[in-house]
Amino acid sequence: MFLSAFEWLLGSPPVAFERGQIELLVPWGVFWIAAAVAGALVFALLGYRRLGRRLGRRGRLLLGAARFAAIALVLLCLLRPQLVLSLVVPQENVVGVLLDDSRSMQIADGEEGRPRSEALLAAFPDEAAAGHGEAPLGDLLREKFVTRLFRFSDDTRRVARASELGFTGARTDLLGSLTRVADELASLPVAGIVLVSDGADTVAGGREDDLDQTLLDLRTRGIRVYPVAVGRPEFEADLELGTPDVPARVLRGSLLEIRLPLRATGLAGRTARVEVLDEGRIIATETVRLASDSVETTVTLLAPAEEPGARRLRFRVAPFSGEVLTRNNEQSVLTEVDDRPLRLLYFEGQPRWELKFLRRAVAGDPELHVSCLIRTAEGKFYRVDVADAGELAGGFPDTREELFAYDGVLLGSVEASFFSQGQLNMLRDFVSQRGGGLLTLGGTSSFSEGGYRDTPLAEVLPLTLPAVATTPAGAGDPPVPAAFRELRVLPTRAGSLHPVARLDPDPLVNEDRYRNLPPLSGVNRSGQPKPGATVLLEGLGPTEEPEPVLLVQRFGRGRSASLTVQDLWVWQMDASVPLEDETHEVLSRRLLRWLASDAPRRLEVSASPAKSLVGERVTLRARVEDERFLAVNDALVEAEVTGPDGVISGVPLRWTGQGDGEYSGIYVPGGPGTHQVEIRAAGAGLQEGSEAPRAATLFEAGVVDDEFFDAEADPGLLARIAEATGGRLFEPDEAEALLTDLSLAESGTTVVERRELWNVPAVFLLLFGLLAADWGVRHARGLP
Amino acid sequence: MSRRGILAAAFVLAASVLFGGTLLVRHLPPALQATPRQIREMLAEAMREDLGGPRFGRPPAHDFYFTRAAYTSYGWRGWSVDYPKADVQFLIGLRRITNLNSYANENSVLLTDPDLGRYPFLYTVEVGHMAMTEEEVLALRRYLYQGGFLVVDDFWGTAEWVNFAHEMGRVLPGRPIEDIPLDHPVFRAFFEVDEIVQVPNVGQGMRGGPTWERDGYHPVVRGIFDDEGRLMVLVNWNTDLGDAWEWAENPYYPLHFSNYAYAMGINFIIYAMAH
Repeated sequence: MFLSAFEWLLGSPPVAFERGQIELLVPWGVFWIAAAVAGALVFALLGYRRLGRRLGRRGRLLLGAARFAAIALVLLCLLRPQLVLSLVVPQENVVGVLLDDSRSMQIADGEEGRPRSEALLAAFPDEAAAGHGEAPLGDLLREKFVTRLFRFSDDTRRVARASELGFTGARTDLLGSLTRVADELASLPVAGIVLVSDGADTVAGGREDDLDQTLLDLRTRGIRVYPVAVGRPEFEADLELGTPDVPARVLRGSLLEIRLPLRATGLAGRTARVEVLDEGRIIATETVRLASDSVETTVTLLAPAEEPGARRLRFRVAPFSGEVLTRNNEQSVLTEVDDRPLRLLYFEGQPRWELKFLRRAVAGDPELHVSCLIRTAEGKFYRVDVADAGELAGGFPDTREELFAYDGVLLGSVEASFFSQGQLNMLRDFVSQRGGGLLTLGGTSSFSEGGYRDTPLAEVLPLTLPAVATTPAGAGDPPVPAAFRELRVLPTRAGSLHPVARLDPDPLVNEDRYRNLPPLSGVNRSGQPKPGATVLLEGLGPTEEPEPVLLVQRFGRGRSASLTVQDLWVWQMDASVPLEDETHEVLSRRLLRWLASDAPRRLEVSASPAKSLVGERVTLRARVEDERFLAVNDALVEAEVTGPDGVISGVPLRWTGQGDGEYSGIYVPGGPGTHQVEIRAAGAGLQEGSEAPRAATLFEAGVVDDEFFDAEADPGLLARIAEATGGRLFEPDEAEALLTDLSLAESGTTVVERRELWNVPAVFLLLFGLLAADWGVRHARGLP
Repeated sequence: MSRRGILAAAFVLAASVLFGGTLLVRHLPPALQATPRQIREMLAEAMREDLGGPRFGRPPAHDFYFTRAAYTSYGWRGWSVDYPKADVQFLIGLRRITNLNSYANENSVLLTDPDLGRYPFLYTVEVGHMAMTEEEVLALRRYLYQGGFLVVDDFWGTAEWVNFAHEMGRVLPGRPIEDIPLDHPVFRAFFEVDEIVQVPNVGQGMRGGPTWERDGYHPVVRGIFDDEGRLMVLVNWNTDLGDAWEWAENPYYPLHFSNYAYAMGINFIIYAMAH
């Protein structure tokens, strides 16, 4: 409405004024124009001088201004202002038309359930439409331009007509396609590029730098992009499962912690039941209440990892009635269930029951191997569960090779002064650099009481260490530690959701289970959790002030946990705990698994994308470290990829030169299915000691279903492309306007058109209005 | 009064005292009456107060308590033989030789004590006269299956063995008592013990007489194992480690007996605290 009124009044649409230039045809010099304006001003003021008394000061000014404006307008018209436009020459210019051929175009979110593709096909019919009404965009373009049609999804291809599109592309690469088309048309006079798409790009997502760079490049080449948006930016009702966050590797028998984002539109308050399936068997479920629109709800699922090897986990939620898109109610993810046992070292500074019962708790766990070292007297050690006669023969490890061979370390009641400075630094590096897990247990020689306050280990701990109390110890021989107190242990909110402390999926039942356990005791002064640490269990002592009992945090590459009580074993031995109760065993195993399962190995491997297209390049990456976990850059690294058909192909991996110890290679899957990747590294620094490191991963080809996720049309991205390249975003029914915009091209083959401005209706109306105002005022005041 | 008259009067008097006493007892206010169970509990309470239990702090305020298991027995011999001197003397050695943060005093606990589980190491003697109540049997069974460790010492000869084996059969039915070979880790936990020595009682030890008692000529270390092959009960038969600890300070007591007894006792504890 506004646009057409504008065009009627000024004879051209706003975009013409935006792009064109206004020039004056009569070449009067500045002096003459100034003289004429001054003359007009004088005339206007003098004309009302005689009537001044009757008009008053304000009326005189008003009438003078109106007359002056009218004279100035006439003067302006005498100068013959013109709008100079560059217009494309019909049939001399090329318009690139990019048609979205991806699967998301199949989504039926249009009027009466019509798919997005229908709007596209209607705009670009094969035959010129003979009917009435507005001509389709394709026809209009063909009348004025040479059109080049391209289909695009993850690649771009020339097509003769739109009906060749199958809408089966597995990805949408908007930016890549624009660049490719711009390149292809580089030698031609290009009026612009029309981009018909839902804007749901599945490749550029999150790559802001790439986006800006590509758009800047197009702008520099003078190519304007005119996107035509199809599809709805928001569905009426839809539930979408986001990408599940699952560890790439999990230890067999552990609980797999999965975070699954759910995005719901129009389903607020409804409940969704998420199911996790492994080979068709439901292994976990969780019911969740959906949040209000567009707010992401993250569901935490704990699923048992029982079968070793590569597992494809599927997630699903039964579709709700009225959901536009049901394909996004399913997700799948690959994970590897590992059955290589974790190696841990448990060091106690003195014999303690905690060690005995921890050993018993993990004895039934084939994935945990805990080597124990107990200092039984000054300089005397007792080793239990060591792999061979040499392990820990020299006491606590004092080389990186020896210590870093473990995935986790448990420190019991041992004073800091037992360790050399080098050993303390090494323990810190064990967590931060090697990526191992460190668990510190409460005891008479632990934490502050053990003198750890100003040591490198204080950094690693998830809690601050208070200054040691100077208060006298309690009575008895030896004295009862001054800080001795009993603590009723309860899970925190975070603990109820954490794979270590969650004994029952129901938070209330979980809390009850802890409530029924006997109190434990602490002998260390309580520290505060550090920022970034998570408290999983807390204890209520005589003061009823909660203090942290079990807390965890990340430190560098590894994990750090502290169990501040000294007698978790009471949960095994106390008379109030039923014989069949497994709390102590479950908690101990989970804690040790959690602690060490993330510890990186000397050879780590990954494949990206983990879900690829057939024929797409899959990058295999490896990180190689020696026994001291120092990166190795001159190793010989080779991958063996076993396809679903059993064919094995070798891929050499080369040092990237970008990061220490990082290698990469490319593999192109020839067929769909799960591909196993096994990597071997050999070379200097790796063959000393044990066998050459090996690692395995997997990826899946041909199962990309990204198009149905985050599938709402994204006019925002399209508008951004338009704005950055100087184009404009259109709806499919704005074909005429699009054509006008395209016709006013600066690039391509153009002619200059001059449009007179003195004869537009706006000038006449303005002049008439000014004179009418002048006459009206005078008439009202009875003036001549 | 004739002799017969005196007898008759005495009989009547005795009968009336018996009858009257019974009546009196039966009609005592309920607060003054006690069931056999209550009497046992009162006795137990008296024993606890008298014989120990940690006096400071609720267990486990210390990492280790050398704890005697107090059980029901027949005859005068029972769990408290050599108590508390043997225990205290052993603790002096234990604390000097190892770095164990141990409670320094004796500690005795009834098998039925609700805190039994807080002492995962139990020592007991004279099991040849053991006659546990059903409650004690159940409590000890539960204790051992939960992970508790029992060391038995100072009982001699076939007759006492038969009694002990019977009592253990009640606690852990179907579990055999087996010889522990000398290469078992319990003999290497702290000291290297290469032979099983018969430690005589203090009298015979100091006199230099025979080391055996009754028909217990050969010392034996046996054990009861759980399903995973872990030692639950360690039995020292035909030997008396307790006396060797108790009289270790006596210059007339042979050093090699007390050395051996300390080595064994410390090994048992270190082993129990690691396995």
